[in-house]
Amino acid sequence: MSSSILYPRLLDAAATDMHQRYANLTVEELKDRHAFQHPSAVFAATGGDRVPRQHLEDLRERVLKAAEAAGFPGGGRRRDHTEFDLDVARLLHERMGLVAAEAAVRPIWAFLALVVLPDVSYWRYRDPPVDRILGTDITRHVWGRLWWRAHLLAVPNETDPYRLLGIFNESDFDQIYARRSLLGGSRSVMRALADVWPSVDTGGFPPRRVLRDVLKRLLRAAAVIEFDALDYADLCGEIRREAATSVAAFRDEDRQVR
Amino acid sequence: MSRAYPYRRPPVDVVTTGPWLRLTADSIDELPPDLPEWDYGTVLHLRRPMRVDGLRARSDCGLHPDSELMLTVVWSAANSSLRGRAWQVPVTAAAEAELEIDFELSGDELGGRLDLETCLTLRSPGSAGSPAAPTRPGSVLWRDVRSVMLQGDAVLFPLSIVDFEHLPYPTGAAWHLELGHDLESQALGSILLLANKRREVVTAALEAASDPTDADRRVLSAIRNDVIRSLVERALVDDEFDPEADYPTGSVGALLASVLRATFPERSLEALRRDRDHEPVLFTTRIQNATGLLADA
Repeated sequence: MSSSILYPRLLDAAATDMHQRYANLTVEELKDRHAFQHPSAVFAATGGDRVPRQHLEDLRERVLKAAEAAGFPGGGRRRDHTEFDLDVARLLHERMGLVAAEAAVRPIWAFLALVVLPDVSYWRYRDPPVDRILGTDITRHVWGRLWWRAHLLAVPNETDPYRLLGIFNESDFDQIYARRSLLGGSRSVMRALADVWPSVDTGGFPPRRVLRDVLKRLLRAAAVIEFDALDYADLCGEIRREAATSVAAFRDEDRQVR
Repeated sequence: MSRAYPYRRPPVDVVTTGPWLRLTADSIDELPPDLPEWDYGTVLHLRRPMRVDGLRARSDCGLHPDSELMLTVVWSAANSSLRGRAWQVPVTAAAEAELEIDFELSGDELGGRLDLETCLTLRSPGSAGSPAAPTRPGSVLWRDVRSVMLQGDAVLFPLSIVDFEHLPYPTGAAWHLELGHDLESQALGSILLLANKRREVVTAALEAASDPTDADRRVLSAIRNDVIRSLVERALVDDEFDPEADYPTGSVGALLASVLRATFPERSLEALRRDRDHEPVLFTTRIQNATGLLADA
């Protein structure tokens, strides 16, 4: 049994207002705006312990350190952002003490983005659209999507529980996560997909194209196959099989075009 | 959802299901449709007696007796959109196999609606059977789903008691329903009932919601009426809302559709919008009627 650490929920009106103002400030100016509480951030009366200020301070310090290693407050190269995302995904998942049901609450991510980490949030995404900051769609939120990526790909009992985190790049993971109601919500399917993917022979076709097709096939199969009833080895076998079928179908298509 | 299965399946009576039971330290009761006292720290201990005719389950879908079948329970939670396996046993090729589903489910990944899917699946087809028999591991031969609403709050939604002095709302208001804009997002993560700390009669009633006095009951009735009114109004003014749309389970859109159906089962959305525009006073009176304002006070 575990209890969640509860994070404050930043009310929508305040979050929208802050986002409008912060979008026009520099990273340096935003540095001065960070805080660990906000008058419009409230705790819900559900089970769990309210996050202590010290915990938020520690979280900010660690994220800042990772950001600085990736060039913050300067531009940073694209590769640095990729590594930064992986570091922070792991850090947030290890340190926040969130249970999944609390991590699905949008306004806690708005609190983290606008109150605790405004400078790093707007550094990570210059001129971010509203969903990156407010969490209107958690799959796109600057911090929320990273926590979820770590949660879905973590393998708790292994020496490195986060070894699968870097298998998919951001847009590939988005493809999987967008189908979470049928596939992405199953941690065993996610893990099997990430475990199998590096050894899949995509037959010279772009891996992204094959992945999208495999996801479509898995989704169709999910109507009559219960993937969560499969042993892990069988599950990996099913994914390999779908990948092989997908590549064969692409080859056929190519032949017909010629 | 209706499914077209590309293989032969046995008739449903090869599986006989018992009731879902909930075990606590001192009792075993049938699992109710709602568990209002549940929170993330709750471990659900569930049990369900089952009888499976493993012989007929195989023969009726053309499988050889040496094929392997599994009985599995898969949980899925609307709030987190997560799912996983809760319990599993092999089903032998015996005529009347008595099986007892028994597992514990910790609260970490749950919240909102919990679906418990019991399914009989193929693990391996064994020796060649009928050409119409299932061959793919995981093929579902039979399934049923039981839902239970988990919620740690007696007042419909997560609640926060705060001083309105610090919020962008009028300081003299008693409560405010904070409601997210995205119709697809999960309601429990998008709705928050804010109660003004300065209105002690309100905060006391909310805190005593599981065992209210008569005075508390009157306050709770007023809050309930106003919450329903706020949700109905939101549904009517939101141009994007469509009560016929297929919103995700547990989402704001699904909640609005269900509140509208429960409050005004006979009226269409267009008719309700007309009522509200042309006779706004009568419209709020109708909501009072539908919510039974102060009826039990």
